[in-house]
Order: sequence, then C-alpha cells, then structure tokens
Amino acid sequence: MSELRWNPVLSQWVIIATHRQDRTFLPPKDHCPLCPTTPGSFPTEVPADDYEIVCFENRFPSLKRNPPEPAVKSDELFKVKPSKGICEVILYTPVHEGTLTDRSVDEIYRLILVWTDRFKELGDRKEIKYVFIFENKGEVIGVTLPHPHGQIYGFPYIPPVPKKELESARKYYKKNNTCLFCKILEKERYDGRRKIWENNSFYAGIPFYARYPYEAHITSLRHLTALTEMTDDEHQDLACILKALIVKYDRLWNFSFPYMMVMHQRPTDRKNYPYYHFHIEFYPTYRAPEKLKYLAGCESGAGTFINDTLPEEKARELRNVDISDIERDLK
Amino acid sequence: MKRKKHTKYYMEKEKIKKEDGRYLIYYHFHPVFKSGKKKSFQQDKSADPKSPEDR
Repeated sequence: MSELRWNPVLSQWVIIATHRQDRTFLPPKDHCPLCPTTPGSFPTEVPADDYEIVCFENRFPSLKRNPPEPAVKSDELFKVKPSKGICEVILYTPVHEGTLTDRSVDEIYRLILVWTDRFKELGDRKEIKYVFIFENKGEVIGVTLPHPHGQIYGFPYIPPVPKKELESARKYYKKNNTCLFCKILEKERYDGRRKIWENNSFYAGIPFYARYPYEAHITSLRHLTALTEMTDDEHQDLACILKALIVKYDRLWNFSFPYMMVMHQRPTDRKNYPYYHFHIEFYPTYRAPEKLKYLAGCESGAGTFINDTLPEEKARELRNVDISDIERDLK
Repeated sequence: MKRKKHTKYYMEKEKIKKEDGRYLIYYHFHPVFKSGKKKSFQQDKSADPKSPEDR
C-alpha cells in the first residue's frame, strides 16, 4: 500500500509505504545491491562493472512517479491522495567501503555537480514542488545499506520543516526588508564563538539555537537560494567546506560519525522565494563517544529539543580538531 | 583566502531504462582543458548516451 494521508491535527501529510518493510536490510558485502555488477555474480542495481556517480530510482520508494490509487476513500476529515513524487538514490562511488569523508574534494565537487543537475531536472517537473537532497550516515541513523550513498526526494508539496523556515524567513523579510539567514550569518561571524570553518563562499558553524550537540549548518556567504545559482568557484568551495566538516566529525572521537545531512533550498513550485537562503544542516546523533541523543518524549511529543550541551563549547571542540594535513586541498 | 586551481569538468549523462521500468543515470566527467576543449563521452565510449525512452 502506498498513499499520502493527511493529519488534520498537525496539518501535515504522512507517507504510508508498506512495501518498504521488505527493503534490503544490511546485506553482506558480496551481496551489496549498490556495488557494480561483476561478471558471473548476481545483478546489482547498477548493470555495469564500473561507474563514477550513479543516480537511479529507488526500488522501494516512499513516493512514486506512477503511484497506485489510494486503497481507502478520501473524505473531508481523513484526506487521502496518491503518493506521487520521486525517490532517487545517488551512489557516490563504486567503492563499497568507506563514507563520503573518504572521498576527495574533487569527488565531492563532482557529486555537487550531480546534486545540482538533479535539483534542476526534478525541479523542472511540474508535479515536484520541493527537491530534498539528504544523506543518512551510520546504522544508528537507520541506514540499511552501508555502501556510500545519498538520497533525493521529489515532494509533491513543501514538507513541514522547509515550510516553517520559509514562513519565518518571509515574515522577517517583510518586517526588516532583509534576509533572516543573512542576518543570522552576520551575527554568527561577528561573534565567532560558534564557528567551525569558513572559506571564500561558505560558513560552517554550530547555530546559537542548536538542537543536537554537534549540529552544524553550512550557509552560503552570498545570498542565494539553490545550488543552481552558484558559480563554479562556489561549487568548489562547497566541496571544500563539506570535506572539512565531515573530516572534523570523524576525527573528533576517531570513529565514523553518524549524521543526517539535509539540504535546504528554495521550493520548485514556480513561485519566488527571494527571502530564502541556501544552507545544509547536519544532525549528528552522538552527544558523547558512547552516548546517543534520542528524540524522546519532549522532542517527539512536545516538539521542543533539549540540548544537554553548550553550542559554544561544542563548536570549539570541532574547531580545534586538527585537519592541517588536508588543508592544502581545502583552498 | 587565495583559491587553488581546481580541475573543471564537462559532465555527461547516460540515461538507461531498467527492466522494471525504473531509470538509471550514469554521470561521466571529463576534465575541461585550458583551451576550453572537452573530451566528449562519444569519444570515450561507443555507447549511445540517449535513454531508451529518447531513442
């Protein structure tokens, strides 16, 4: 069963996708469906013996290009509609081992070119109102396939979190005639205590209002709303700052740091969003080397995060992680 | 901050249709030389870059 059900209490859509229960779960390395297909072995998702970066439609999509009609009838209170949209998987590399952190700046730059292309192609489809690029990293996040990959959802509506951000940015712009994110960036850069890294085009830091202990945001210094508005130098600089941040994460406690990485861009519903501002958010789940941050009662039931740490201290920890050995590649 | 020279790429897409109807796109990257000349995908491989749907 696959359909969208409306929650009239929270005013948001829920995706019902029961077929996803059957998706491949942590297969052994020699049965990885994301590796290239080697001669004589089972056919993987990629029918080639090598590749650079590959994008394909998810075999177990939450949203479908041609969804079935909903199994239940829609009425005024319990609205239901087809789960129309698109779910793609992006394979970063044919190499099974490792993570995005192990990719070179040049490889990350090429991935950014692919993200940009996917944003444009999916965003040009009239049924897609929001292109959501993200990566879940680590088993504790719920990753079912360890092969380095990310995902893209093409939503038929603007999802609640970007919608909330857009609304706040619109109101701020209307009142102050300036971008909310530009103002936050100005204040963060002036203060400096929560900064992790910065280059010619981007700033990375733990926000003043961080919800997770090591939550980091990468924000473009220039006011722009999507990957497609960036220059080639900005794409290069984005690759550099992404590499810097995720290497720092992994070196913090010397293990592969699980995180959710989400990219917030303008919607693709043909409307103008001059008040919005491109940024990438990271939500790492660890609060200490052996302690996870759970979204428990207060976070899940009340919608209020409790952060047991001080953003200024956590930013200092990450800022002090030494990456001087790779700094040459980050300029 | 002084910017280091990075390789620029010409990106090509090869879209195929899988047996179950899903699409798959191979992304190929070719360095763009100083002269601006690019090495095209067709020069690299004899494969048809068009998707089965486009043919």
